[in-house]
Amino acid sequence: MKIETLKAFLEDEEIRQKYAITDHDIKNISFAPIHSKHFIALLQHAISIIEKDDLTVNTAAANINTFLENRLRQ
Amino acid sequence: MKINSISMNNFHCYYGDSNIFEFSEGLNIVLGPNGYGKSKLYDAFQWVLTNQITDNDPNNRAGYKPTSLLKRELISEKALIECTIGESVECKVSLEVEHVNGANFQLVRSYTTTRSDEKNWFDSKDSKFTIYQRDIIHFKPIPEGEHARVLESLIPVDVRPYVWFQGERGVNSLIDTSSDDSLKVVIRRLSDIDKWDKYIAISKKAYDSAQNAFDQALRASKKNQDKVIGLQADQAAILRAISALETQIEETQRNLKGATEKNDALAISLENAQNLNQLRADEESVSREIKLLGDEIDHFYLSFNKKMFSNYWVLSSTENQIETFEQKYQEYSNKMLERKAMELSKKAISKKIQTRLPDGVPEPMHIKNMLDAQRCLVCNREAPEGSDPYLAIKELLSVDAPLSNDKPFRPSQDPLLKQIYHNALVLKGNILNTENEIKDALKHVSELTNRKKQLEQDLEAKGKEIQEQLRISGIINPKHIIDSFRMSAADIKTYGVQLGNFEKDREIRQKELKNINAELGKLSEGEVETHLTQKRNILEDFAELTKRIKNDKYRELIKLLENKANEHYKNINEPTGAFYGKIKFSETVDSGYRPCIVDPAKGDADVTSSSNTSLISSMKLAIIMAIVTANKLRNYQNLYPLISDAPVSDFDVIKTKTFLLEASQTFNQSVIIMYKYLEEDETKEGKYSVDTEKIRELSNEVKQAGKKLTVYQLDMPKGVSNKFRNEIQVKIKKVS
Repeated sequence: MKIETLKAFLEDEEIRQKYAITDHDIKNISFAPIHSKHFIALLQHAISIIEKDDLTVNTAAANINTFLENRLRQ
Repeated sequence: MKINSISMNNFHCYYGDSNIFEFSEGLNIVLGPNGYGKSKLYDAFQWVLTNQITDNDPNNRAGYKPTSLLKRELISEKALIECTIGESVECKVSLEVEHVNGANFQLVRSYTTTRSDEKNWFDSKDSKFTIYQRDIIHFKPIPEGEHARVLESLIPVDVRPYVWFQGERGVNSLIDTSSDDSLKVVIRRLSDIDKWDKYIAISKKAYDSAQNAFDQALRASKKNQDKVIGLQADQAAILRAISALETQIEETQRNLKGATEKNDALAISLENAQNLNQLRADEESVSREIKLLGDEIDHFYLSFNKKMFSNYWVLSSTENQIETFEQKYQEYSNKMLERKAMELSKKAISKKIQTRLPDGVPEPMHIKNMLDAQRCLVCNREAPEGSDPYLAIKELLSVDAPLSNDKPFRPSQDPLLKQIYHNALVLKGNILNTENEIKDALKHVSELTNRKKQLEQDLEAKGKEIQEQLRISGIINPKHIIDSFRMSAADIKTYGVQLGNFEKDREIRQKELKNINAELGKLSEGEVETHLTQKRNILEDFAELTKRIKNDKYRELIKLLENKANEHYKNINEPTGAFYGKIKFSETVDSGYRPCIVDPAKGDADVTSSSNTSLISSMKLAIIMAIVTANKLRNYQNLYPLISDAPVSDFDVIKTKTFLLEASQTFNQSVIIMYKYLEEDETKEGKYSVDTEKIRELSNEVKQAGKKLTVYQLDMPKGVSNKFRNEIQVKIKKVS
């Protein structure tokens, strides 16, 4: 299910154009390793976090925020 | 879950303990006329699982009645009658099922009552329920704490309504063509669409945090501080305005939806309401006319009585009497003249005789003359007073006058008769017309009376028609419906305009916000750390993406459901040869969907309201099937059996067959309870036989599709009638 969700996000035409997501990216997508493209990496992480039932909205949002910030700082 | 068997002991009309249905995979049909226990079989399935049965009382909104209210209504009346004082009687339903994992369960529910005296019973408060699980050979009870889990694993509560439903009411409660929410609920059951709401909430929260971090960093920069603060203030104000507009849009959408739903719901009744209104107006008009006619008839009789005298109608047909009178009067006049002439002649003769010689005794006048003269004028001798001759003459005065042959004197009636005759002649002209006048008057009143009678019959017929229309439509106040329809139509227009204005305002505000954001973006260059700007932009895209994906997924599911529903719909309807159009899920103002039937030949025009009940029912059943078949991942069709009572009551023979075939193809196991394929025995009242030809035909087609057909017939033992509830005992016959 998680991979279907990830593909659903990546197949969005607007996102594909803006973040230069290719058919190759979609075809070979998985949750590991974390993708080199920031947006795809964000989706991979967000899906892993959100699909967990035990996190609140605030905790999950803070987690995603931190993940992205750390990655962009690098 | 597969149903192996259901057995009933003294449950409603299933008297005794030998009432067992054994079901197999494939199509199982139970045939029975009305009053032969069809619904009670469905109730048995429902009762054993849920401890309640369907209640068709329209006042019961829940639509169910629990055991605590039903009590000994659940028990066969025949069994109750046979129960002696001090003894108990029990009803029991036992359902044997096979879990998809291969485990076998027996679900047993029972209810007991004890007769305390002739009229009174001691009813148990509730039923007893036990679940047994088979270990190799025997069934063993499982702990009560496990019941809910086992039942949920056998057939989840949210799935059950879509695979177990009873008649039109059951289908309507699942698929409501007048409600936008009906498909939303279906989609939720069908998919994991709700998970996208979680994505939307988290991504928005993450974006809001990133935006805050960006704003704070920008405010902290030294360059263009005043401009930044000003723009941020404008940004905050615009965001507030957008938020307020969104609230207004949501509210207006709700209002518009409410008005549209109301309008649609009223539109269904509008035609009936208009008809009823017209019928009532006609009824009033007829009543008025009847009253006017009644008054006219009353007035006629009053004036008729007067005219009897004023118009001489009372003398009608007396013309002959006048002629008779005329004749008699003539005779009378002639006789009177004759008599007068005779009298005159007599008098003349008598006078003549008396002057010459008084005849017999002289007239008293002559006697008085003689006494005065004291002389007899007859013999011309003296008769002095007191003398014998004088006394002899005087004596003559006392002598009676000689008897006359003449009749006594009578006064003449001639003037009166003459007057009467004269009057009669005057009236004669009028009397001649009275007969025609009376005839015309009576003809007129007869026409009035007939017209009144006709109108009274019309009034009675209209009254009956109104009652029938009220009964069928369930409408209480047609005028109210018509007024409400007009008001809701006006509301739709008003809310539509309001919504358009709010959306336009929001668009303007959003453009303004975009410009401010762009300006702030420029000002942030070199002032805010790049990663904060990037983070904000990426998370904004993520938040927008989650919203789009949810909408896309929702549309995808709707399309999938629509396609699947149309497959079933076509299979059910195409063989009938009649028009059936196609099912379309129309998007509503608040992004909901409503199922309708459209005509592709008329540019997909909505023809739901003009479609017959058979088509509507088949649409709803097709959607229910689609919910099951579209959900491949959940595998409903193989996990849960279809159990339905009277789903085909609106269908003809062909559509019944196509529905049964479609059900057999859709579900691994289905149990359809219905009043079809039965022929009434003309020689024996209340006896029915199965139409074997049709069953054979159905069986062949089911077999061709690789499925099995099992048929049961509900019957009554010889001499038992369903007219007497206390005698009813249903006999279950397996049809080979």
